[in-house]
Amino acid sequence: MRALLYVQNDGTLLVQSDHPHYEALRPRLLAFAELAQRMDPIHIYRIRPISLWQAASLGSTAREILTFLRDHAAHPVPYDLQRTIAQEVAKWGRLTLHQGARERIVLRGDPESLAAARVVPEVAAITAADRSDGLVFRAAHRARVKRALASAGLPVMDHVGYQAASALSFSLREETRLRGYQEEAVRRFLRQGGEQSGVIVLPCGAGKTLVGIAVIQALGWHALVLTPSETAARQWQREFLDRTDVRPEDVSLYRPGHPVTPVTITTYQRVAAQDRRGRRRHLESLTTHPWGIVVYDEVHMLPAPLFRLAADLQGARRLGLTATLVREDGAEADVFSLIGPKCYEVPWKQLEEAGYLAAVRCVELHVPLPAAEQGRYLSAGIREQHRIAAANPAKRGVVEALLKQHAGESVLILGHYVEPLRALADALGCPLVTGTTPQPERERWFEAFRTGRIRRIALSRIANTAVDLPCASVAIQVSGLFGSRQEEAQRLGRLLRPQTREGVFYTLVSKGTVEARTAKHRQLYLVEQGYTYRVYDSHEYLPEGVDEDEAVGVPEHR
Amino acid sequence: MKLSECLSTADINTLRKISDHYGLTCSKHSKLALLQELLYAFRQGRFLDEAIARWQEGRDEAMLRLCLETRSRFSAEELRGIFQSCGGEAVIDEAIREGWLFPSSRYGGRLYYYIPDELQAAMRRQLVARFLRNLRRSQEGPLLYQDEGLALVRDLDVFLEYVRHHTVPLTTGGSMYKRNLTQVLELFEVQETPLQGGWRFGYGRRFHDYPDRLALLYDYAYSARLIVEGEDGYLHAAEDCSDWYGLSEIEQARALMRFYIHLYRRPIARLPQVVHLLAHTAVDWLDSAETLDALAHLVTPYYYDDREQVWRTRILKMLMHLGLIRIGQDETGREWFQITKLGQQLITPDALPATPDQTRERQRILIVQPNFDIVVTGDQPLVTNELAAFTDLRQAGAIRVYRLSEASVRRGMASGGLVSAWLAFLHQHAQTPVPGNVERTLLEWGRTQREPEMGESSLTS
Repeated sequence: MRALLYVQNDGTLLVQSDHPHYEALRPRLLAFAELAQRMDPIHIYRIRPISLWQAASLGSTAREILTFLRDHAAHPVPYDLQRTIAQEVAKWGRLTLHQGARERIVLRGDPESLAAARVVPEVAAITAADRSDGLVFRAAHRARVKRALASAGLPVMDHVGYQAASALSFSLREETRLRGYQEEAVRRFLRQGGEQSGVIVLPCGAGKTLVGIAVIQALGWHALVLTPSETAARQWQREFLDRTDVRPEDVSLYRPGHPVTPVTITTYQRVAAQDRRGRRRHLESLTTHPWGIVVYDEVHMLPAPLFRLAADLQGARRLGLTATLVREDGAEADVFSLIGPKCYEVPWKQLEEAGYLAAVRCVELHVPLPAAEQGRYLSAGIREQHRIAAANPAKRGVVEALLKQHAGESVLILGHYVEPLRALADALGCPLVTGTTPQPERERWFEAFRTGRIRRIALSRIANTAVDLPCASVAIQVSGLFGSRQEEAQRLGRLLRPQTREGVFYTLVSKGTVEARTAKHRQLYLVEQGYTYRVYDSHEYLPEGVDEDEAVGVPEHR
Repeated sequence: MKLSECLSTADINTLRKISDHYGLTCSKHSKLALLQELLYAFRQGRFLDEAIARWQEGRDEAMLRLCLETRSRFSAEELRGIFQSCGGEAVIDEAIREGWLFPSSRYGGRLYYYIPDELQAAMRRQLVARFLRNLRRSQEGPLLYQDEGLALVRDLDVFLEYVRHHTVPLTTGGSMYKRNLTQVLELFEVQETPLQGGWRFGYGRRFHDYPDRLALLYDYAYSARLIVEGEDGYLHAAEDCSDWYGLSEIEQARALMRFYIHLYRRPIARLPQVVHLLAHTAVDWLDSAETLDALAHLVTPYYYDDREQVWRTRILKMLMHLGLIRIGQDETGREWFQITKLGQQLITPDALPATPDQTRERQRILIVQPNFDIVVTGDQPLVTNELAAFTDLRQAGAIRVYRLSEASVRRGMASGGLVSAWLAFLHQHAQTPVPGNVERTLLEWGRTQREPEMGESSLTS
């Protein structure tokens, strides 16, 4: 029989996803490796120090991991990788952080590990006392110690414990039902070796907010929720009120100068904000409250400095919620050390198969640039070329044809460049929401879209941060920079909502231009995430065709 | 040959002598009666074990050679050699009288001596049991161990590909210059460093020029005429390596193993017996130092190599390079080794059920992924050579990954390749359908190569 795995020296595992045993073995694989790419029939996993610490924290041994690899790999396991696995797994638990006297914490461990910790410059800089049996720090340095050690390759088990928190009692509404995997996520988090801090990985649209709420409810303590945007913060508040019987006055968005409520929701940006003298007053006032738990929403979408600040709230249990463990800046070690190990993960394919998430298909349509624009395009500089390609007037005809094809469905129109997007929105007669749209107006449009009063909405780049647009089943991207991979994941995340039919993600690209080339990068990322991806010329995809001559005649809206 | 066959081939006198030797009471005048009586006796486990124990007593070395071999037919000259140290000709007569060897010229006309299969297997069992008696064994084995699998075979292909595509001048001594040598060693899956000087001779033609593993690989390639040290002062790959490429990986590994034994048995006279003994005994993990003690005089020093060096460097390490054993150290620094599946398959073929030896041509070894990576799941130089014409190697090793890009396609077309031919090639060798986006993009690249892309054309066009 074919082998399940191909193991490479750098810890990359190529896995045959159509192998008859794959489904059964996947949980064991996910225990010590991270799924990095998904392109049927090959799924690529990575074994990394952090994923090995994760495994060790859940009780796996090096021999178990090696035996699994040896049993299922096509070739012998490279020796260097064996050594890495043994070394990294052995690191977990060798350094522990304990409560000391008088606002101090103590790092303990075997002499060798302590010696390795001593020579980490950042640790040396904040060591309050160096004793033979341990290093003493100020309790306020708890996060810094853990982070500095983890990025130096030394994971620390945190046994300091948590501050006493104020109690909060409420229940989920009767009609609120947790799905099986949501219940499991809550259960795993609460168990988590008694530590009760860690990260839950669920795809966009799988109901992370509800998992967070259920954890807060089960713990029964005051909770602080940090979100990446105001919109997301409001969404949390609304979910709390819809899903639970918590008293409305107990849930609030943080307002400076007002007392905090038992459940307080705010954004990372506000926590990090400084006043003119450089003091972080919000952070200070939030830190003084005895929280029982801090929830970090979309933890992997955060800029690292913001995140480090927010993670200073080490006195409470920490729950990270995210759709992916991959960070563009490679700062995964920060998340691991400051929040905790991953305690639960469900890949979206599994949820899709169980019918919780809709499948999404990606279609790239190549739209020819009309003759007039072609002339301008050829004489323009590279920056201008991007704009001309993005503003290709022939795209309008294609959008109209697509809208006709998806009549009756909710459609998002996404664009990077605001002006062409505005012109398009005007022509189609649909609302446009951009970064400058006032918050109340935004909320109004989203609400209208959510309730189905309007079927189309055009969004600029703000679509990239967490907003809840539950009914969209079609997205048409008319222009993009195709820069960040996260951006793409976010855009697609908009579509991955339950109760929709199969979603379609269209990208319109001006044929033969720089846009077509940059779209290649994005295409790679999406197929690596397991989406089906098709490329067509616009006239061959659309049944009645878009008459190119006619498209050229469309006047420019500028 | 089976015992029953040996007995029925033998004449009645021989059978009578054997039955006399064991004091069997039956009719000495009926060949059938004698045959049945002897068969019955030899099939009694206890009778056989005791008889073998008596017969093997003091003849360990001869027994090693006689019963570890995978064949059971010996010529008279061979037998004289085998028994030379313990009595020569007389012992052969004794063996015939006791029913261990059966002379016959029925097969092939020449006189050969046969050991019945069942008896050979029983002798081997006793020998192995005796050998293992004082050895520490482990089923679990050390946590970390080195296992090179078929890396040597793959690296030989890498070497041939390198010589084919590079200019490799030779020194007056006929060895590669350091620059090429370093490049070759860096390409290999198993790392080795160039030699630092010191005494080196005896283990092959280029052993004094190259480190151990490369030296073996090179000497093999040279002796199999896969490479030629040209009179023009350059190293060349043979024009036609199709015989070699036509072999399965297992066959190639077997060829390398045979070559190793042939080459190293000159300095290590008992190497074939040692290899066979290890194949039969190291089914569990064995303690390396204790095994060397048990092997006694089968391993001897060789000029600058002391006994331990011969054992660890010339035998164990090379067997590991050949993929026949795996070696590891436990937490206390003790070294262990174990025979691999490949080792059992090559040295003791009966130990494993035969696996169908697929010839390489029939296999579909490519997986074309929608992100333009092409994963090569098997080692087929003929396929990868063609693939490399229009893709770039991204990752070497046990599993190679090639990347299809606009630049690689442009390069391939510049040297006369055709997109349509490449697509046909991919369809032919891919395990799974070629993704639509890849197919389409490839065709598109093919077109844009002919008609230059809009951004690059001049305004007058």
